[in-house]
Amino acid sequence: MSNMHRIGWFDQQVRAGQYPNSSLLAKHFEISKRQAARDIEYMEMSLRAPLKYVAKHRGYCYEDEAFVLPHLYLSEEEQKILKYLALRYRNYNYDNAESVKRVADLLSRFEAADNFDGIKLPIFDASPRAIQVMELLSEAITGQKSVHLLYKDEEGERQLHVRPIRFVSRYHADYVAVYSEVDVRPVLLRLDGILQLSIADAAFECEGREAFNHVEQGSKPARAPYLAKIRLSSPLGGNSWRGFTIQAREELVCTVAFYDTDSFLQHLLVAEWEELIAPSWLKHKLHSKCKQIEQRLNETR
Amino acid sequence: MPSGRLHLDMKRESKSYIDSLYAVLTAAGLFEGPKYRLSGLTGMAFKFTVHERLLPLSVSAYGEWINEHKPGMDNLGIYTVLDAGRTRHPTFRHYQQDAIKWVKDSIDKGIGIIYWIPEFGVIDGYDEEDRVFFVKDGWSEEPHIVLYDNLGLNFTEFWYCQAVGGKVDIPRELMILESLRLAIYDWDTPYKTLPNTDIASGKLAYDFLIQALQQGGYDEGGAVYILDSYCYSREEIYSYLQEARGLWPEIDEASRLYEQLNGLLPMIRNAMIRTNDSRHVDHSQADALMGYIAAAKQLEDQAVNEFRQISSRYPDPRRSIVPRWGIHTPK
Repeated sequence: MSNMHRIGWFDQQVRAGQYPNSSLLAKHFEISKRQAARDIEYMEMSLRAPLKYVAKHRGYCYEDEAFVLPHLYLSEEEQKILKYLALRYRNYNYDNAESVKRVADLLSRFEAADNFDGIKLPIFDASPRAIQVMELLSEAITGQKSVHLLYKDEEGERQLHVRPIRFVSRYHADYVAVYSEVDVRPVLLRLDGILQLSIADAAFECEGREAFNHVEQGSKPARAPYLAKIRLSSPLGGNSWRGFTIQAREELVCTVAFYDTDSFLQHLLVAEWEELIAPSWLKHKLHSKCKQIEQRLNETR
Repeated sequence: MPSGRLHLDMKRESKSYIDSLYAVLTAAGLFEGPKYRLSGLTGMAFKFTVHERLLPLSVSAYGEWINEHKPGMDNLGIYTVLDAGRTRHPTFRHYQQDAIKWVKDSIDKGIGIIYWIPEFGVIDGYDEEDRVFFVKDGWSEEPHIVLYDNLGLNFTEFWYCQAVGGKVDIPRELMILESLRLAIYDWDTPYKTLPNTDIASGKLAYDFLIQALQQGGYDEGGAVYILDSYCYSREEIYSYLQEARGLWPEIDEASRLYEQLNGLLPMIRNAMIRTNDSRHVDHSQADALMGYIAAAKQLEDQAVNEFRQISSRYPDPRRSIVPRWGIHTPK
């Protein structure tokens, strides 16, 4: 499949009447001329492309313009791998989980429609125990369950009953943040230190515990968005006001988050709204912007 | 809900730090006089740093800010409290929350705050209800709005907040002497942001500038900004030294040398042309420009040698006594 992108390009060149040849293909993709010739042969033989060499132009054209390249298809084995990756990405719970999950959505489009059960997973260069531990912990985190685990570190082996909160990546190692039965503060456990793990039947209460405030090493704190309180003329469906996230709403009054003042001011100039309740600096900016426009209108009258 | 606006008048002309400091100090009645005097007394006018690719950051990357700004403030005799660092440090939030308090306190007292936007600007107001600070950059009358929770967060890695307080009077002669010593230090120190050696200071900065112009491939906008800022600060130095004439014979000579240097500035400025709304170095004049810069370097080197002669006549306890914790600031 790796040559498909080259073949796609070659096909385009042929269609555009550029009369491409093996040298051009080799030059464009920085491959050997022999490799390029093999690609063209593959098109001719395996994909049955009606290629015809035109000596005058020293390149190829299609004898039959109605020819189309066959659609890319995935073998069963490749589908299994993609399915597995989609699953792994979907369960990924580290930082930037949102964007990683979008990758999972993308991958899942290539999945075969049949059921995942019963398919032998391909072997990856990752410890199966670590994958299993992560799988169980992910389930415990989403199901808000507690787990019994056998943990080993420099202090030796010990049995723990903890409630996992989330995965954390720090100093190139994977951790899970957990509440133990006694401590108020969450603690970090290394994933590769977990020897055995099982999900407990009953979870213990974690009310009143300190929240897990994870500060990423070497990364800046995220900037908070500006918030505007706005009364709308009609109720909105969904969580966004034409692309601006609605953080809270109380009937027609919405708290809208935005990062760039100028784009939000522009939005206010075109969107429908009843009242700009807060903040006052935004009211002031909008006011002066409108005043400027009015002045310009008066000058050009 | 408490809130306050000081409506400071900040105008970008000199280095952004001096523009901010000038706005804050003049409004608080802590400094009187022209901007070049402030720029000279703090030693800021003498600071000249150049990145090897002439990036625009060259102008404000003249060292570790605390180490660069503090001696200038000390020379003015003005009490200052400043906090700065890298926003990635896990403790940043604590310092930030503390800074929110003292920034508001200072504004309540009617004194603005010097703040890294970037570049430097002034915080001249806050609104407790909306939890925002008003920041002026000196270019536009419209203030930037910075949420309390975003104080210090910007696209660079650093944050910086500085407040000023009371003042003691230092004799003018001592202030000028110390400013010359700061100038010598800047001229002689090749790299101010070690371990990085991509930004040169003082004498070496001239070499970096000439080298980049020779090799090409530099940042066009940065080159214009560096040269503009360079020309402005050399004018500041000349005005500053002219005022100090008569204090020592060497200062008259240094003033004469800077006068000569100022004669080169119109040519340097003419080597920058405007096309399609942006200014850049005129490549056909690059050779001539390098010649002017090399000549300016010679003149400035001679002037700094005059400063050295003045400095050597007086004791310099600040630099000759090594405190028991060493020459570095305790960290």
